[in-house]
Amino acid sequence: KMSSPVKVFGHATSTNVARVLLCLEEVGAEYELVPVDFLAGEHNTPEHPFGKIPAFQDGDLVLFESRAIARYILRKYRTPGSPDLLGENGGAEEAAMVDVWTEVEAQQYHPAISPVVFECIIFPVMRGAKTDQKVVDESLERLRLVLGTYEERLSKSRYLAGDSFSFADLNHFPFTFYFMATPYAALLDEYPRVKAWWEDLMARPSVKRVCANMPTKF
Amino acid sequence: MAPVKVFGQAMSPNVARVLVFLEEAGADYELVDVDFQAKEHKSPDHLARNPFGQIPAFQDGDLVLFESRAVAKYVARKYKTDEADLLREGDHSEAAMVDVWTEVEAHTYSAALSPIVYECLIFPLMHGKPTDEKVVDESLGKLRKVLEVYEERLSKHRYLAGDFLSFADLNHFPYTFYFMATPHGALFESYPRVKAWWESIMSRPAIQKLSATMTP
Repeated sequence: KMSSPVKVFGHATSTNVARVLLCLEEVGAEYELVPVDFLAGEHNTPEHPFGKIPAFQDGDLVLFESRAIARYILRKYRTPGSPDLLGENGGAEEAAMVDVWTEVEAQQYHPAISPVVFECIIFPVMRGAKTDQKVVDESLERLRLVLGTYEERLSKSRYLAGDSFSFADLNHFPFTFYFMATPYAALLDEYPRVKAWWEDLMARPSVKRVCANMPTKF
Repeated sequence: MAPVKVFGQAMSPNVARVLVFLEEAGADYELVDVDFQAKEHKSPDHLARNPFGQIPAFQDGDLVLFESRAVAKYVARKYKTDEADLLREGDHSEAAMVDVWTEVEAHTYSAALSPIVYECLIFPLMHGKPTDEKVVDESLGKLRKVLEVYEERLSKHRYLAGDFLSFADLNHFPYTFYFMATPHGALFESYPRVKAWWESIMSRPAIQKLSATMTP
């Protein structure tokens, strides 16, 4: 029985939508991207109780929260040919290390890098707002500390969670992609292992396919 | 089997997050203090466990972990039984619902609620810093909207992920416990299903036991 493609509700340029699309591309699952104008209160989308994107539908199952959607995709649609990105088939320790560095992205990396992206790209483009340089400068200081820790980690481990590429590495893509389009991209040059890790990520076929729909100039 | 070790103090919300799952499992564990006054959290020994110099850190034999939600998940998996299956990883759809509401706690619920805990309790009591009422008011506005969604959700299901208690519900415990000690705890009275859900969590023996160690 052919199952219908899963649906992702949102725009390919959204960081959290890109997170989900990346996972779909990694496992090679068929999907349909359904644009949402949630301000217009579209009725043909599943309700996202917090009014955000992405939302996701697989048959009767409706999900939201990009990291939850991503995990579902990586578990349900994983094929023998696709990598075990959650480490769940590798044993408790491997899965735990993926969880640790996935949390690090959410709790340490994201709060440091995302304000730079918001101030330099998102707020100017979406609201015509001026960049708050103070916020950018404070964030860059925080980011330097985080990148220092990443540099140390990547001197001991090929990827963040261990020797295999994982969901933890993948989660860094969306905001880092846009950071590299800000005037501060050269910061990564000060952390050579981080830079090499980023270039390795960018070379993945799934990442190239998702990038193709994300702007680099604003 | 040697008891697992948790590094940090039970009163820290993120340490408590890990202890919730150990207590629920009735697991043997050792709580090892980290002396912040002495800057022990920045010592080489602690940084080797948590390179970001925070608490908790966790050790099970040779395995060392950090980030409370990752540690909590490891604990929930390790002590899973047929009766106590908080993650539901045997069923893709149920596991996904647990993940959804765990993410909601992390990114939406706590984002609205924890600033109130910091401003009303942690900053005044631990840092002698006065409450910033503007932050509190903004956060209360956000929290009301979040609690409306929770009220709606809990009108359809007994717990957040479905009709079963899960990892998602228990993750709400630490910061909500402290929220109830602020002057704004009565906010939950306006959301009867949320209130009932919270009371059912608080009535659990493991939560009662842990709460007693978190009260100064």
